[in-house]
Amino acid sequence: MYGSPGYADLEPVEAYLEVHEILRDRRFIAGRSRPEGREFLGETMVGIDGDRHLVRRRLYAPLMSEENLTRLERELVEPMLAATVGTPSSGSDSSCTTIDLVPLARDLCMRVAAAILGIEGVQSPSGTERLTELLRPIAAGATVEWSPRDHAEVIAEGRAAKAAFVEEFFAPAWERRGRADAEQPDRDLISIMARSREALGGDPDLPVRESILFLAAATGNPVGHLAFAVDDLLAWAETESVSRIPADDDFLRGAINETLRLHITGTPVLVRECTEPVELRSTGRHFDAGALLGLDMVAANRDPDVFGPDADRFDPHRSGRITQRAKSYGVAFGGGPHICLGRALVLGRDSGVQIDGLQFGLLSRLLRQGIHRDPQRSPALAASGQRHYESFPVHLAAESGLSHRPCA
Amino acid sequence: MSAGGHCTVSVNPATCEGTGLCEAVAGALFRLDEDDVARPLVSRVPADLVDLAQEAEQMCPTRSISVEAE
Repeated sequence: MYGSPGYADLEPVEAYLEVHEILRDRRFIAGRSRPEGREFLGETMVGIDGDRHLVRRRLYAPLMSEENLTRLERELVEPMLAATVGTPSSGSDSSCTTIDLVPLARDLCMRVAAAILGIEGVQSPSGTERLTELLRPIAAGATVEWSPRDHAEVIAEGRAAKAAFVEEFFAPAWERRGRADAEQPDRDLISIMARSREALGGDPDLPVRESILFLAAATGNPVGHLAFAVDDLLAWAETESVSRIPADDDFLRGAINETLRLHITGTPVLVRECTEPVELRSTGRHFDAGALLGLDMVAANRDPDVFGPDADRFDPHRSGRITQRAKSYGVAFGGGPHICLGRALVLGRDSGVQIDGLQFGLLSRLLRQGIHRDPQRSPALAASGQRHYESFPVHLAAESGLSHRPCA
Repeated sequence: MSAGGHCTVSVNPATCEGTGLCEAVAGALFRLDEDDVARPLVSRVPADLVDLAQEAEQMCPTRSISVEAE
């Protein structure tokens, strides 16, 4: 099922309550996922369970400390947004500018990801472009089980890109940590891994694969969501005849969560193995030991029993109508011990930390700059599927305040 | 705080998502209840468990745990 020969025997789980319960229950493990792409993500934090997973989680937790997140936002995100999107200003029609949201979001996320990893050479347009170019075939290799292309070819391309990533980005950073880097103990992943070789086991390639995981997670999903968030908001304003899209905190965070719920830009089906006979508390559904489950994240996040009969529709005011203690973004960040490590970086204050978060930071600036669709160029979805925009041109017209209407 | 002093610990049930990471890291201090919400097992943390309480606080993805020095 789900178009993957490697997962032909998956038992589908689509109800939100069941997906949420299984993600939290330790009798369901992630260990057997990614059978083909293991040379890219095998044995990384997403694919291990129990005590081994907990060791990694403990090692990497300082990366998402309040101090680290605040530093990233102040020193990296805010200056970059000020330089690319700018700050609100008054002006004439001539101040109308055009930007493409996809490369903008990709550059922003790539630089943040590079800082979290501790690699250099990415703080320039050519550096982010090169890393993006390498990451694409690596990510395709890591998720090859879903690819309609020849799998051996996809893996070979990913392997070549991985070798180039190691040579150009990872190895120089790793070697620097090997010499001495005690001054910034918990600021980046490579420093943490270099100091924790014993805890990570003896596999010399594991730090490379963990780095790939962090890069893919920090760039793929947030970049996809930023374009979808703008698309959802502009479409909502058009449908509801709203002349000014609110940019206040509550509204915008409700809109961001709604986009996260509706657009699963990462793996649409999470695989879990049942390790013993289990009857779910939420619904009474039974699973045998050894059953392989396909948790359908898209279906779960559109479950009408939890999110309402109009669950397929974008509604920034939905949060008050959600039942069953569900979060307004559903299972967008997974759940249980494998919950997304970077959740706070995306959600900001909604995750209890004192930062805006990537999505809010960019969207609030775009709204204040008078964002509207580019009437000449339509957004383009990636050729590989319907879950990513390859291009999303917009106009910014500061003189129009919070309006989403186009430049004159 | 970890240099010998006690601390208090609390969990915000409204934001807790029941990941169970606190229970896994500091099982002597936290337990998930029947609704999968983390509950502190003690209000006053013994000095020898303060480091664990702080680690659980840092690891909580929803920042639902508060550890305060007494």
